[in-house]
Amino acid sequence: MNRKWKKLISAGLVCVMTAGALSMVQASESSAAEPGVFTYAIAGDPGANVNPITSSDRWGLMTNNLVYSPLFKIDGSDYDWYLATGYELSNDDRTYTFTLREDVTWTDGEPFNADDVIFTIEQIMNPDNASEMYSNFVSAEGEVEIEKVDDYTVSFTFPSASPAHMEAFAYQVYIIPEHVFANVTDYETLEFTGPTVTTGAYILTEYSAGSYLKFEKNENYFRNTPSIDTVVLRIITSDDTAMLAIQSGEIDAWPTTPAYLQQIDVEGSNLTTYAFNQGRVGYMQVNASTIQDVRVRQAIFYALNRAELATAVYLDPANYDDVYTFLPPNNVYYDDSEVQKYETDIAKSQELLAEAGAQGLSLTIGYCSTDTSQEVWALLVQNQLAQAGITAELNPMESTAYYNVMREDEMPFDLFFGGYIMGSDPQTYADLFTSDGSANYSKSKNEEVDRLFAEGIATFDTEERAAVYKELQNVIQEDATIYPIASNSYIVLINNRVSGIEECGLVPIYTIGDASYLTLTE
Amino acid sequence: MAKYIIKRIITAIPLILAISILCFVLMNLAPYDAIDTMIKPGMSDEVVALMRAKYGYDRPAYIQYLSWLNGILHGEFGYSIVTKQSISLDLSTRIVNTIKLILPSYLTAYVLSIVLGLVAGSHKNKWQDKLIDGFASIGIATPTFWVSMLLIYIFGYKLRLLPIIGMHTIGKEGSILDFLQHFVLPYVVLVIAFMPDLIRYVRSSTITQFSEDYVMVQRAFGASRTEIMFKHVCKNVLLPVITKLGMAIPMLITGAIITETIFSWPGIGPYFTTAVNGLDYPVVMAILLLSSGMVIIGNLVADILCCLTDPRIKEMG
Repeated sequence: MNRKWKKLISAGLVCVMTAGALSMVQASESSAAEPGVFTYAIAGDPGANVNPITSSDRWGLMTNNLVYSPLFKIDGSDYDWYLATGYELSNDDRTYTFTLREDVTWTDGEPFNADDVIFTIEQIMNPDNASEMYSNFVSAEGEVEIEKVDDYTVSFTFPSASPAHMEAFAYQVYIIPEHVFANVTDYETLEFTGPTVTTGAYILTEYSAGSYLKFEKNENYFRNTPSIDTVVLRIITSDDTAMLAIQSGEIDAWPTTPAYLQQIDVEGSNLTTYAFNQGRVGYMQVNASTIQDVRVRQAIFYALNRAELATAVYLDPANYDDVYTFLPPNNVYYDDSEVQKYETDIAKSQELLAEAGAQGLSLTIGYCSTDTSQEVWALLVQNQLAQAGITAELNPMESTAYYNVMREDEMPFDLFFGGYIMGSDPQTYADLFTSDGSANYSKSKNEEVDRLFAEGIATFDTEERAAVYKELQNVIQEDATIYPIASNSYIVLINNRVSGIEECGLVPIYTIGDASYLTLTE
Repeated sequence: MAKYIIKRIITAIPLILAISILCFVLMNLAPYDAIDTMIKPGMSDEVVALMRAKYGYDRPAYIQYLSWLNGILHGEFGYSIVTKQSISLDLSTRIVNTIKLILPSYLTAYVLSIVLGLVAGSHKNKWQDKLIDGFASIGIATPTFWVSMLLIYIFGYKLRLLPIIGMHTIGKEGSILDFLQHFVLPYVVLVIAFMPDLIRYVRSSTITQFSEDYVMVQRAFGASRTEIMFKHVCKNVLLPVITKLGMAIPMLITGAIITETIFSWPGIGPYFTTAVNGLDYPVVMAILLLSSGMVIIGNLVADILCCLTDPRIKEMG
């Protein structure tokens, strides 16, 4: 028994060691990147039945953007046309007539035409689908009416005129093929059965739950023939693992934060940092229902030090842009020329507090306990307020609890943090600031703000709108319910073997603009 | 024997039912639900209401539970609220992946622990014992994610010897060599994680056995140390250790949650943690059901093994 044991054990150990040695011999090749394959690391799983009607998570939207096409995309103040070639606005400004490209075919050979566009919008407007874009087309005033003018012309009539309606078509409205989805009753229980029928630059060919999504190039892509054969979205939930993988070359691109960036030897690992403005505003808001005196709110703002807050989280000024109003600085209507910036002024802060009879003010600061940026800001704000004689208590909350308590009338804090990315049109911010807006977390009730938002969509003239929004930005800052801290860039580390990034474009949310322009230099 | 097994299984069913009710109640007691985790500021109240209606959140809690139970009895695990995937489909691939990782590592840890535990126990307080016991103590104290990161850093990054993500390199799913390369690091981590507990168990069992009368008798008869060890002590030591094997069956599902997350190994671990964070009750309930079923089966197997190996218990039972 003794000998037998020993023999067994030693045999076992030899086996294990041989297997290990064998695998290590081959290993040096497999750690490196595959030729012809572009690997992008994503932190979550979009799910196999990712589709433009119901997907709402960042990774689902990214996938949709790779395989489907919209009618057009908004590029600053211009339109970048995709499936549509142009549009006309009727005299009463309520009807949009789009002309479509006639040279596009779906990857299964069927021609793309107006039926697909109509079908897509109808699916979005179907309440059973619970699509995120539902409210863009159906509101208390009525539904959008759709008319098929001919095979390549469609018109949409809105119940009322607004310059913000164009945006409804540009974001997250990717056209799906009617002939494939016609009999689908539930988009969320689709089983993935193989290559999806698309008009985008890439076709989804393989999905491995929790691991990756694999895309092959669409040779018939109507904008451009893609250069890279295969794109892989690799799901890596641990940031620490991803940080090592991008440096070892196992992945080609990884969105990261300033904190991780500091730990990485960018040049030595053959990487380049791409930081672009994603139209985000990181902010602190005031609970206007508990702090009702505008002078007190302004006093709080005068005690803060914006630069200190921004650099504490984003470290390098290259990682963020300054922002002083509710709009992000890359927005066409951003105008801070006459806005109150609340440069740090402790004396002024104390003066205002005295005026309002609020010396010795005591506040509660709420923040999301799992968000390290918010935690840093909360601690700093507590410190900065103390300089003006304001004492603050911290109230950290778990993520879901935090973001849901904001939607309720009673919030257990006076100051709180957040960040948003809305759309290109300022009207998309209305729900955040109007008195009965569904996302008005600060509970502010300002009639002038309501009036100005309404005025902003009453005209289509960009100069008139610019004047309205300039005033609106000033009014909201005077009201002191939101203190914009910084507009942080989205940072992506990309391996130098990838080029064509400028033509492809790096955009908010989807990150990869048009993947067909990316190339690999081996 | 067969009657005993059937009786045990039948008494287990109300237990599993009770566990599922308890889990469901706890998830409902949380102030927020899966829809709340999916709300973004751009969503209007109407859209949120539509989403709630779609997943049945507008119905009372007991109706939701009963409709879930109804589905389970028909063999349908349902769909995840967060990822919208079929749960049974997801589980079938993920459980296999988890088993591929845990089974070899647990068995290796098991065999090694028995050997080391026996050695330590029989040389109590000598250098072999001190070394092995020391290793076990350190092993219990070190967290698996730290060991994982250390190995990834050394072998994946500094030495570039092994890949660090997932189970396969994409495109090489058929290659066993490729699988082994991905498998080695998490395997080592898990062996290091499973061993300490087992070593100490075997060691203390051995020490207890060595202080029994029959050992003294054997020594008096002049039996050599190895003879005592392998002919007499071993069987008695292995008895409780074999029952431990039965208790380890539920680990086939939930034994490597952290390790799988670090290595992006597509097993149950990350799936479960994502579901818990997203308050995705169909997924959590399904995994809990499986897990508690495995615990009950594991206990049953342990009892049966005990019965089979120890003639004394057979007589009593």
